[in-house]
Amino acid sequence: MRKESFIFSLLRLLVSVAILLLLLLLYWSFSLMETDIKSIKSAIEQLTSTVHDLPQSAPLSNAAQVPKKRERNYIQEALPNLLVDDLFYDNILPELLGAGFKPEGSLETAVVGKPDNLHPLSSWYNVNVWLALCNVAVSHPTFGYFESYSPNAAIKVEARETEDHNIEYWIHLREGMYWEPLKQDHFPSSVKLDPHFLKRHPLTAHDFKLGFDVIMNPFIEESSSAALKLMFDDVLEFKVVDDLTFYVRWKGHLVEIDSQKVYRPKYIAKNITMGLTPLASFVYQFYPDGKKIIDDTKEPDPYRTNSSFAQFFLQHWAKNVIPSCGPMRFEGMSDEQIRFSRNPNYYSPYACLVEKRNITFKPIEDTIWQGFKQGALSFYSLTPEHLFDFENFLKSDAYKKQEKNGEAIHELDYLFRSFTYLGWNQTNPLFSNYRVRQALTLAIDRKRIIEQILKEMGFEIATPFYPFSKAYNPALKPYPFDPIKAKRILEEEGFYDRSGTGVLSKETPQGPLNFEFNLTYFVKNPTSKSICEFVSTALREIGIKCNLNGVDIADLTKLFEDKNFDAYLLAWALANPPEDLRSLWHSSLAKEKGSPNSIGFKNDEVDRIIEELTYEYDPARRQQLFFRFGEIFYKEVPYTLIHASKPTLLYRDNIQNVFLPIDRQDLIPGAVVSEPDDSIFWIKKR
Amino acid sequence: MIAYLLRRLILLPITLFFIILVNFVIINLAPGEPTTLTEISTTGEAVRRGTQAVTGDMRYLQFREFYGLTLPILFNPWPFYSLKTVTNEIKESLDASLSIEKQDELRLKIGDQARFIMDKLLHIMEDPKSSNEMKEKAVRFFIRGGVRQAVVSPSPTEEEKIYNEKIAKENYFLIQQLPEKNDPNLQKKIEELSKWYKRSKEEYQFEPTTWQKLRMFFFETRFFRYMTRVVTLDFGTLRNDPNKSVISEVTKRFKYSLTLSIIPLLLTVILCQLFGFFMAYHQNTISDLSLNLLFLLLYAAPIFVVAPFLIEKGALHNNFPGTSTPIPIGGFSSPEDLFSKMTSWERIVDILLHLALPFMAVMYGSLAAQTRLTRTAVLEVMRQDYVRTAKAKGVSSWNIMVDHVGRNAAITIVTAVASSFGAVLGGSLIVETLFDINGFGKFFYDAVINRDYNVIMFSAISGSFLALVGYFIADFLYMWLDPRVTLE
Repeated sequence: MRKESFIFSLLRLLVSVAILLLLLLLYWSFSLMETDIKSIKSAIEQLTSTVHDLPQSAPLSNAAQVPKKRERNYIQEALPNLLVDDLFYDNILPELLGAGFKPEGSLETAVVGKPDNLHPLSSWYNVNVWLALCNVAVSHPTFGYFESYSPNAAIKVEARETEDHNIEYWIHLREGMYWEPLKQDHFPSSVKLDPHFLKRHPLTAHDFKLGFDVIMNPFIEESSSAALKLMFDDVLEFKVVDDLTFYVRWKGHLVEIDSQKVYRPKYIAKNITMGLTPLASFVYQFYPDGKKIIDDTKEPDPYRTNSSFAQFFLQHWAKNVIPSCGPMRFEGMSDEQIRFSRNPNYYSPYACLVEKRNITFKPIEDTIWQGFKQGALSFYSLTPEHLFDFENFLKSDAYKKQEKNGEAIHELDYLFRSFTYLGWNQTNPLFSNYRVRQALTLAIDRKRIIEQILKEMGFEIATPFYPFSKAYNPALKPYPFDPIKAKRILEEEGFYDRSGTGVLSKETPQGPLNFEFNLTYFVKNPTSKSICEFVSTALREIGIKCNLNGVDIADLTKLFEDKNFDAYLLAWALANPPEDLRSLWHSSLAKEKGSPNSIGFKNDEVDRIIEELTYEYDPARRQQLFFRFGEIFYKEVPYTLIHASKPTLLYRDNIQNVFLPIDRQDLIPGAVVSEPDDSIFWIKKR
Repeated sequence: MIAYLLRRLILLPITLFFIILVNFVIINLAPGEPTTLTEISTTGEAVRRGTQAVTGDMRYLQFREFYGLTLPILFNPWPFYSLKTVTNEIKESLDASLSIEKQDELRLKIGDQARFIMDKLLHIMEDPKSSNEMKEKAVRFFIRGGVRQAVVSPSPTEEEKIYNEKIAKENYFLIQQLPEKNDPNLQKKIEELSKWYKRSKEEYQFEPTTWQKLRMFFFETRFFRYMTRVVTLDFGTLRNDPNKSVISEVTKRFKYSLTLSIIPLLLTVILCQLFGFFMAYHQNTISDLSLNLLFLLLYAAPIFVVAPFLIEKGALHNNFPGTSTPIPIGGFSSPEDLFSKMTSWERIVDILLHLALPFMAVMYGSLAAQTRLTRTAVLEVMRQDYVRTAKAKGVSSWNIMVDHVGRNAAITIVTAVASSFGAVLGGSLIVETLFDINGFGKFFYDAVINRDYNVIMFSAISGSFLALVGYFIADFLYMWLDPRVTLE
């Protein structure tokens, strides 16, 4: 091998070192530049946010927001306003917050799973919650009450009867409400926004009309719109009078009330009208280049009839953003989280008391719980599985340290509007007899399920309503646990242990019928699994063979929709009163694929009650009808109600205004809502 | 050699075609609609809401049409159906004793066929001998077959706009003819529809010629549509968002999955060499035995136990040793608002801090396995004659280990390491889920759960393509490594 001269090697070494040094210097200068750019960028961001929040930097007060007066020709002063003042927002909340209050901080929460999209007709519950954060409605529920409406987008709602006995709700919108501009960086680079989208647009009656039209378009059959479509069936006309006025004409039906024939719209008509929401026509009627999707000048109601628009709307280019005109403003969604900020241009300064809200998407429940323990989340709904871990955590050093830093955890128990039940498929010969269903209910010790599996985070109910609703009859007590009586009833119905195997069976014309069935449940939820195992063991005791069938969500949905199951464990989330019994209990839906009446419940009297409730306005009579339904439910036991859920809200020390309206009768007399409302939470600076 | 190369290159697309065919058929035969209405509540339960209602045929129609799911899978015999077959099918669908599932299946099936059997449906509608019930059903299917989809594109041409406007008008006309139960106007509606049929039968090929029928038989199928897209490398969009293409979503996750597989792979290679050589050199000493035991334990511990253990006992409320930086328990980096304010160096550190635990979780198993393999390989080479010769020649033990042992032991190790390259695309579902990292594993898993056909197909195609190319290269490598192998 030829030896290199020493000089040459030295030279090579020097050159390499020099190149390395040069590279390091280059990196250093780049990093200096980067730091500079960063600081400039953050300074600009700060500046823009300061400019944006200029009206906000003053302490909040209702007085600052007096709308300027414009001639309102269509308001009839003589007619009463169906909207009532919300004393909580007008007087009590400002008092609670004190003078000089400024909204600060960010509420951090998390949800399991990432939504498919943010389409206005999404059937994902959380998406609807987020859409509502950024949107308005004709009215908002009066704080702490059900079936009471306060001004929101509308300042006045009038009911006018027409000559042909129909009723018109005239809605007079608030002046000076705007849709916030879209932002280019919320879209993929393939979508270039026209300047049209980058400025504010006033919220008008046309936006409400568009919201109505897309629901009524026969080519839009999303599951979320289908229910509304049925309800809107009675709307004869939806007319925009001017930019700030529209009316909805509801059909009056000739019904017999107290043996008198009267014309009446459906009871639900008022509730639905009050809940109408606008759809941003400056976004959804357009292509990204600012041209209209369809020519809307040729035909009347084009958005209500056009199938091409329906198709474009369902696949809309803006389906992953939320056009905002409500208390909060959409600030973007990534794979990790969705962000909102307070809308300083919103008319009511008290509608949002924090500066930001971030909701993180987590793959599983466990990671949310870990996040809360670490202090990354503001509040968390504790589940039975984590109760033990939570108690241990409170004793840990890590928590002691958090406590010292002012991050103590508080607890608030409340009743959640949902209940868990076993549904018995009534087309199955085993469950077609109500006596058998009673026996099954008697054989399951629900108290013990609540004690052992739910760790007391649930309670027994007798009828399928929210216990604080007027529809719930407290006189009915849940079935006791009585396996002996259960066995006796089954014997009376012909179920004996004929084969000596310990499994009951019955002689039928088709041959012996063994009491054996599959119980389907959502396999990924440990609590559901434990409950089903408990039920299976309990039924085994009285000679019923209950096979467990744990499935994932897609299969569960399919079984439910095809009504292809023996029995299942599921929960219903309840809507706000007024309760609608039709979708769950009317016999006309018993054989429809995918209907909520999945167990195939049929009862003539219940059908009559539902029809009567449709037109009954008298609260006392309504309650009577609900109670009667409750009695039938109690006797028929189409569901075995396992429990209504009673979660515990855990929240950090700096989160304020966490209370249940029903507990604060001193502030809100007569309040009935018993769930915490996170829209009034605010964050105290440490 | 050239002949072999050519043969392999020709076989490659053919093999790929059959892989696609088999996968396509299996995926399309899997039961279940790509949609769910049941939700998971905040407490983890399966929950439904009464506000969601039953909907009709239109509900998934647009979706199904968009993805070509209304067509048969491989061949389309529907244009060849006789009047008798169609009549029997409709009769069957009127049978009230059928289960809801079966009824729904039939309704969907005839609905999908409707476009190809319009003439027969019209015949049934107009036939005075058909019962009213039959007619009603036939009208429904007729309308279903007549309703067409608009051309959805972000910037349609003038022609497309005119077409869209035209079919919007026709669709609205058609849907207004939908009969109610015991509709008194049924006959009138049928007449209207019949007029419409006569007007448009030429344009929409309602009465195809044999040649047209044959074309439909082969080309109006799901598979043909999919293949025409695939050959132009268009793998479609995500089920839930037509703005996002499958390719862009996959590339977006590249950085997560590649970081999570390549860096641990490199670290594993380096560490396993160090440990392997150390253990072989000190064979049967205390240090060798204890390391052996440790790696045996690591090798045996399953990932779904180790990962939660790392989170619970290692990370939660603890700082990195010797610092006051808390150990992050999940995610690829800090939250965006923080991350975007960092300089590039801070970002790298931030990502490395976040990935410290996931790396451990990904690495420990393969590290244990590879180390034990390296130890064996080194020991085997150390017993060779040439090593003894080198020792006798007085070569320093460092040189023996590096030049003589190392090089020869590497062949075994590299083969083992190379085989784990295949896992790159697969991602690691468990680690990604537990550490909340948005990589391939979770992406493909979610696609399977959500029945996102395009993504599933893409993962199958790209996986098999990579495997085929891998084998192709491996064959050439063998030849290059071992002169005894020839490809003649």
